[in-house]
Amino acid sequence: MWGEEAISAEDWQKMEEFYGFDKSLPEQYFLYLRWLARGDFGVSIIFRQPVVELYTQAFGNTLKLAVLALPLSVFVGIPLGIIGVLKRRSLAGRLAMTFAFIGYAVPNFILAITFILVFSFTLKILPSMGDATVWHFIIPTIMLSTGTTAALARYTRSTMLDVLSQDYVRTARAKGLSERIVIFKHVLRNVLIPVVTVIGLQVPTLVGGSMIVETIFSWPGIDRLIIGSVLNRDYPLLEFGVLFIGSIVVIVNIFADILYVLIDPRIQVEA
Amino acid sequence: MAEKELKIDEGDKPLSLNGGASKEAAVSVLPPSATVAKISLWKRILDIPLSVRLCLIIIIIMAFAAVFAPWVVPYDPNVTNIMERNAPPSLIKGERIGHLFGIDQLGRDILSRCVYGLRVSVGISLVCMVIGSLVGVTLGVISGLLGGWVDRIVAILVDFQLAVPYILMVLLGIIAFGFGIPVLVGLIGFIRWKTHTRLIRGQVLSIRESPFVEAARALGGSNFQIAIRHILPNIASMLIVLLTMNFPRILLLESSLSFLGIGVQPPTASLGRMVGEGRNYMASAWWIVIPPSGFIVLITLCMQIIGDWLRDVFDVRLER
Amino acid sequence: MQSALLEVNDLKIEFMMRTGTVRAVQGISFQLQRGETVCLVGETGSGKSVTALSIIGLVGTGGRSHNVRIEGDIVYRPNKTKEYHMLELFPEEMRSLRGREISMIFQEPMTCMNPVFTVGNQIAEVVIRHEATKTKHEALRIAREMIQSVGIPEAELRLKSFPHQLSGGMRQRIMIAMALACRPAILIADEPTAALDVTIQAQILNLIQRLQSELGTSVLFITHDLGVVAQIADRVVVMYAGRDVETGTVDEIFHSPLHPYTKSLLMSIPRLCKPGEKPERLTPIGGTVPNPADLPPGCAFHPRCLWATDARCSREEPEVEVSDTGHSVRCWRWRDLQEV
Repeated sequence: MWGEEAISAEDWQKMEEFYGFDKSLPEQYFLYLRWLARGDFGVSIIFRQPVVELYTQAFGNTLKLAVLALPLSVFVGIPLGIIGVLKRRSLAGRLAMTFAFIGYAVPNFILAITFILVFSFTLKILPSMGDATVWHFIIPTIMLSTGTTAALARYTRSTMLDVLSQDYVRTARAKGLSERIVIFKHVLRNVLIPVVTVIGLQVPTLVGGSMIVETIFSWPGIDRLIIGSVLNRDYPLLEFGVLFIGSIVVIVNIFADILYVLIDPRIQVEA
Repeated sequence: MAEKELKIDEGDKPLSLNGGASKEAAVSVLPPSATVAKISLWKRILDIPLSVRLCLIIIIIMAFAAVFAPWVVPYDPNVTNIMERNAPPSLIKGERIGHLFGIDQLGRDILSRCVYGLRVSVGISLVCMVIGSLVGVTLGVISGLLGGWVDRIVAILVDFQLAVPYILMVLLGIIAFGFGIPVLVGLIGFIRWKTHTRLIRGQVLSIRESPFVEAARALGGSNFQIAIRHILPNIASMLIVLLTMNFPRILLLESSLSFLGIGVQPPTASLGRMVGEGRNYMASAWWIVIPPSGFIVLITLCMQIIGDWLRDVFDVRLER
Repeated sequence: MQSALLEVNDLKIEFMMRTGTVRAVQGISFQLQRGETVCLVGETGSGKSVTALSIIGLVGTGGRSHNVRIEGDIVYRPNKTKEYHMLELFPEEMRSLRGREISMIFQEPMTCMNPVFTVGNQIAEVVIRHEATKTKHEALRIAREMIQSVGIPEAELRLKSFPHQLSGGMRQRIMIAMALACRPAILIADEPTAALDVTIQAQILNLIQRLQSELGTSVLFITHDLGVVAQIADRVVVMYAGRDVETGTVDEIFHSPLHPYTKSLLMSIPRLCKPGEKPERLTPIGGTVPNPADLPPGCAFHPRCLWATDARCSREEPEVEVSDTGHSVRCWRWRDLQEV
């Protein structure tokens, strides 16, 4: 807690009334629901600002990172997985999967710290805090994307192995099609369908799970806000944060489902 | 829906640093009787690749150090010595062995703290693993065996957990129940059960339909008996793999939380916490963060490799 | 003798597994003449599927797998001047033959087609691949014609169907359409009807026979079902444990079998008795098919053979002997057993 200012009993009571802490638990819950219905999400205890304002500001920052990290993961992760399968006996393939393995097994914060040590402190070429310039975006984006990249690489690889052992791949070869067509037309299409939905499901992680990255790099995003709210017991802030992230998760999931139905001809929605 | 999500959650098919097990389609051309005499499980276990052996040795050494920590460490991990804070690593100190990993910001020997931290982190992770597995397996077996509304409820719970990022759940838990190790253990254990449950349930479902279970039922076996005598032995191999794969993830979870400051509280040493605390001194005293990070990476890497290898070993037995 | 369209000479196929070498095929030879139907008959494990796959070069993943060793010679003679030695072709050469001159259809129609592309697309694909002069439009037209010729109504509609919208029998017909779209000289069929019910099976067999006479295709048909053999075969190759134990015309095989295995097979077929006849017990062949990794010494069939003698049968593997009619057999005692 920050320095506790001495406050009079009166002020304390006023605060309690304002936040509803003086009521019983169930009553508080209903009160909250009423506030929600009115669109009033409360005021942060620490920052003394309406919660919504704080979040919209922070969300913008988180989005900036997420919007960069997602394409990075997709365009690095999926090819890594593919190389890992097609060239699995050669060095390239093993390297690819080793990368994926590292991204998956080594914790985020350790990778981040290593990067910072190497690039910021030793080589002194990249900044490690804040979000002022373009350069500031580089390491955080890479760090945010490692988890997703590794997951995508591994998932692509396993899906591809599955597909490669399917009968219709043998049929395609029996038709005399060139290996390129077999892989890029028949195999890839079937691999990308499930992979795309996995991408969709990674979005909540990028948005709601970037606590570590935002903390390490002092990135003013929503996850740092949430962590702060926990450490400081800033309940209104926390409540909204949970609500917010929960909604995002639900929305993204719905989109992912819709996407899946659209791109897989086998799936038909019951009318 | 269920199929799609099962694939995501499962992680994936065998992956080892050696490029992964490749099933030759040639084998599928041969009839069942042609696949040769079943290689005995023992032989496969003994046929351990070098990388895995190395990992096993490392793990054993670390386990040893963790268990016998009080006798192994050169210094008391909690004794602070402000005079020497942030001192770099030294080999000798007068007549004793020096601070091999240096001294942290409060004057404590880092190596000793690391070993104790190892103890704490690993201890917590083990307990979580046991709890998570117990709950997960039980729920998995029950929902797989009984089906019906029990299954639906469990499925809903699992979906719900799957949706929310884990850190968020932990945060909520901490708010509700406060800080402290028991809370931590409970929370992490609670989070990890879902992976177990889904996979176990899937396996149980397929075993449930096998002839020998039918026979057991026909002979009047109750659900409980069937569960214990028939299902458990058959999921044993999957269980072992699950446990080994989950341990590193739990360790990482605990480390991340401690790093952020919401896991293990001071003055207890935890590897993640040490990294978190040392972060502020990275520029000047990098030896505060490197050793604990190194330990974390070492354990998780070794466990992952072992886990992947175990999965390969059991692969023939496991239905895909 | 007229040179055969396809000639397999002493084909040997071995798989190198972690646990030892498995000899799936140990030296089989046969021929396929223009326009005829040859059946490869055998139980599971006899090596018939692998033989077929090796002709078209699909043994192991993607053709050549380093775990497989294939020896021998497979010769394909499309006309008097050209001769291909299949086992020595480069992958690109092999690929250009597949689908255009030699096609194969497989056992499980349910999984044989790519679920995300339309049926028309998948048939047209073969045409586009092999006949560069055809545009996509023409390829689709050919696809439609093929769909019609395999007996599926509403061909235009079907072009845009996805595989999961079709039944098993229909899918197998589409597979046949795909295989024959470029009018190949040889069609290899690996138990195409095993996964279908009997009525559909009859339809598919009739379809294959009809198309064969229309297009002049030669068919290599793999099966374990003697009923199928009786219906469509011109000549038969009986396989056991990776060996061709008997080869002859369908008449010779059914009416005057020479090899003990063939004889036992025929004896084990249940048959309806004529009125007044007392029903007989079935006489199955005792024992089981040997594990290719662990074959018995001498003749592979001798442990189950009713007429095996210790002298040679359990010690030496029989060589091929040919009777004057071209009927060949691999057995030491075939002459003595001719009256049985």
